[in-house]
Amino acid sequence: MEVKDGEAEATKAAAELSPEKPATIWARRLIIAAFWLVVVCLGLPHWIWTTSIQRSDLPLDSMNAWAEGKACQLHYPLHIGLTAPDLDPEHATSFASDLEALLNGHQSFRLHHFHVQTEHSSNDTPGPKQVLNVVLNTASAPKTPQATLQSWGPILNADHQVGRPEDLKQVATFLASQISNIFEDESAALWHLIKDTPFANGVQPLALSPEKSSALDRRMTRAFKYAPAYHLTFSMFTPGAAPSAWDIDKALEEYISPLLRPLSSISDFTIDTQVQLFASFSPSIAGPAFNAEKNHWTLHYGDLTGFVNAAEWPLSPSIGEGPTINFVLYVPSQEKKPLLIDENDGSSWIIPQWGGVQIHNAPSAQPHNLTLDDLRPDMLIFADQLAGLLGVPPSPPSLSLRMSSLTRERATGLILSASSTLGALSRLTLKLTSIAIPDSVAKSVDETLHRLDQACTNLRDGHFQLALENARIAETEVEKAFFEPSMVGQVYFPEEHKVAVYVPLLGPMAVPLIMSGIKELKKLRERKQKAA
Amino acid sequence: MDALTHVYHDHPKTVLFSTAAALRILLAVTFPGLPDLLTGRVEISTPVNSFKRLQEGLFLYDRGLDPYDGGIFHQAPLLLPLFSLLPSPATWAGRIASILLYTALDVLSADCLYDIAKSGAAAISSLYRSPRADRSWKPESIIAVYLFNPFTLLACLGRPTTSFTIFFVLLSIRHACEAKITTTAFALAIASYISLHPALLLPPIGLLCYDRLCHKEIGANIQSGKPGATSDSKPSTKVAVDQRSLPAGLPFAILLAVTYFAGLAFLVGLSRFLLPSWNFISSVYMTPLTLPDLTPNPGLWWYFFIEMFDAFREFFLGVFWLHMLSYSVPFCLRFRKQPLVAVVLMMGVIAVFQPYANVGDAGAWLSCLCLLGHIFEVCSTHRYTFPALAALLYTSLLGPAFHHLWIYAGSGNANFFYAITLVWSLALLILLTDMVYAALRDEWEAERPEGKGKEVRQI
Repeated sequence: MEVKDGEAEATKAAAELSPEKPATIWARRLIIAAFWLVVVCLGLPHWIWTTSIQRSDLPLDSMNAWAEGKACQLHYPLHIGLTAPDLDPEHATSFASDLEALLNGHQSFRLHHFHVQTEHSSNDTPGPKQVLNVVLNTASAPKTPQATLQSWGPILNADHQVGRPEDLKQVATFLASQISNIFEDESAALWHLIKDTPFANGVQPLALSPEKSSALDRRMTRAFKYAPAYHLTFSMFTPGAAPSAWDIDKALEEYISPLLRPLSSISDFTIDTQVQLFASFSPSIAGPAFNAEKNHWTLHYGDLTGFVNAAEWPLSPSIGEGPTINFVLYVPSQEKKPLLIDENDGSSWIIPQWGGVQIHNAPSAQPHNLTLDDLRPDMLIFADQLAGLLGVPPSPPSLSLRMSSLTRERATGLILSASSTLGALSRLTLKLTSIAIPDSVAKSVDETLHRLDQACTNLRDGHFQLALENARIAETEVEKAFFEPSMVGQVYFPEEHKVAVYVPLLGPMAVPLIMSGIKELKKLRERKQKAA
Repeated sequence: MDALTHVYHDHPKTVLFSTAAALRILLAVTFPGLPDLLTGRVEISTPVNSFKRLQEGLFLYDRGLDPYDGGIFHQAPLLLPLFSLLPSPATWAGRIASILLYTALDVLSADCLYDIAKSGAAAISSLYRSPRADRSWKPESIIAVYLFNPFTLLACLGRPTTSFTIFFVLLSIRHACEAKITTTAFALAIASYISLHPALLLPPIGLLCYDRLCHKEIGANIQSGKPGATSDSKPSTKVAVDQRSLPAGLPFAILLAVTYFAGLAFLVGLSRFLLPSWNFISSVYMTPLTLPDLTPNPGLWWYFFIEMFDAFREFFLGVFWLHMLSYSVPFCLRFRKQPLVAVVLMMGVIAVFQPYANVGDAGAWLSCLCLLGHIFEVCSTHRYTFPALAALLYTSLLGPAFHHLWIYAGSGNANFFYAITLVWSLALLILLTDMVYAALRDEWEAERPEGKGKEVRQI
């Protein structure tokens, strides 16, 4: 293997040796051919087969149209029914159109469009569900006009004296201001949702006061992100051995279920409960201190974030599908009672997007069992916290109106987030040309677009419940497409890295193969030239 | 002492076999924990041959369940009825019974090696006669190396099922040396059925069998043509024969392939008969192909595929298998004149590059190298062989130590063990390339006797 002397020696040695026999030359050619045969016939197809990436076609134009807000003009027609038993049909119809004109001219509604129908005009065609029914009572009305909203149903009872027909104008103004009061907050919330998205293009901006804006911000950050299913966990923690039981089933039935029943049209809920005895505070907080002045134990504001001892209290982050909303009832020990928050003497607080905490400061001696009566105040607070955590708007006072408001807000939020995910997906596929796009992604995107179209049509027709359902499916599908595992893996794998993958192993193997191949080909050409 | 040597000279095989068997049984009896300890070693037991996993499969099989359901057992189904005859290895009797079975397997393998060496196929073929043919090792020495090789001993006590593969491969080679086509193909089919990779030995073993067939034919011709002259009295290195009198190649190849595949189909069919489903095909044969279990072993694959990007996993699995496969035919072409060399070298390639490499296969291959003892003198003893052997020794001591540091002590990491397996494979490869060089040099010197003893130079 060593070359000791110069080239002269080598050529001499070469001359001394008899030339290779044809059999040897042929054997060498066959061997090189055998290696190349494996590479070309088996290696190459295998390479193409295993590393080719499948890119399904995505409807990029429609995806971008959604992302840029061009595919759908958000629009909320609100149908209001008017029942005026004391007015004759003719007057009622003109009154309704007056009211409609007044409402649509109101400056705080950019996205809403009102349709007021009397029971006479909406005769046989069953139009969309009416969001609000106004019952106008003019016959035996008191002197001062008044309007009351029913707390469970979407019904506004109004009393106004009508002496002459001209008075109807006054009544219309009064009713318009009442109705706009009801929907003002929703309008602000919807505008708050879309104002920073492309969907706001073409909509006259709605001026929101900074206080209102920050209040909306707080409400949005406190609420959980929309999920098709939530899990509620009600836990009782106590530092001692008592109480060891609570009438939670009855309490839930009484105070939480009425709230969940209307909400279940938006999401599904599952509930579990637990009792944890001898629960200690986390060592990271100072713990309760006795305030002699006020004669009660206090918790500092700064301690509230660490109050829930995440390391030891068995509040698992999620059970099954969907996020878990935790409700913690803390029963302080007899000697450290009452326990209140130092700054405002409150006993409950919300942890945004996690749940609520309530300290049970019943004055009575520590019972072994917390009865329904003991739990009543706590449950009312939990119900309130639950509404807040799910993003139920705090006004108007009618629960059914709040629910329908929430339906519209959620549907809008889902359409917005699905659209922006579609845009992100389209940008991603354009930017990373080497990323695989499986068929399942294309299918999901098609389904998303279809559902978004449906949701948009439903919104414009006033079928808000259907719009929410379609938007729900769109959001799930688009998330599935965007987080497709086979795509995620290659997102961070640029083209240049392939060199680093192939060269270290295949390079050393390829060099002798290619060199010997070239050498043989050269010899073959030389021989041909000689023969010619 | 004299009596001993006397007995050895009279019955060398008997003495060697009984000593080897006695040694194995003695080890198992004196150190009762040793077999189970060795069974747990990653160097000996891999996911596809572990005796422990076999017990798992056996447990399910004995209870009438599909043994492949658990995802742990990846061994050939026909081993199950065989092992279910033995008492449970958890008991003393069962352990001794299993050791006895594996000892018998080793002795039978050694017997095959003896016959292979005795046939002289290593140095003399139909086309070639090595100038060093008279320096071949004695068959007794070769089987002594095999039986007392520490790696073989460890493998026998660790009881991996690849011992069956080794036995059937050697059996196939032995029948090939005896020019028996059907039994050669069938024995190789059994070996491939157990472990898949012996399928790569089909071309070289087929070549060996064909060559021995020609050799026999020539011998017969010479005997019939020139009565009185024996083949031994022919000192020339070239054997000039009338090509037309040789058996035809194509029918031979077809017969071999048909027997091989028929044998394989028969075994697979028989397995299906024993088992409730076809699950075993994917579990037994897809495991070495797709490498789902990355338990460390002394091979090169596991670490590579731990580190490999998922997107390229399939591609590189293919590359590794094609790499192993690509040697099979070129070795046959280059060592057309010395087919046994091609077989032994291919066994070496498999021992080093197989997906679930283990020490037992490497040990068996190192012993088989002694079949080529006559060309050892051409090897670069001082330059490469000594460092390679030293590296083998060093890795067999450091390997378990680093594995312990990594897995149990926690003071090392995977790189420690992988570095050792790299050195181990490198040492084996140096021996392999050295043997390639020696075999080629031997062939070259037969053509050019004047070049004997000269140093190699590139011109």
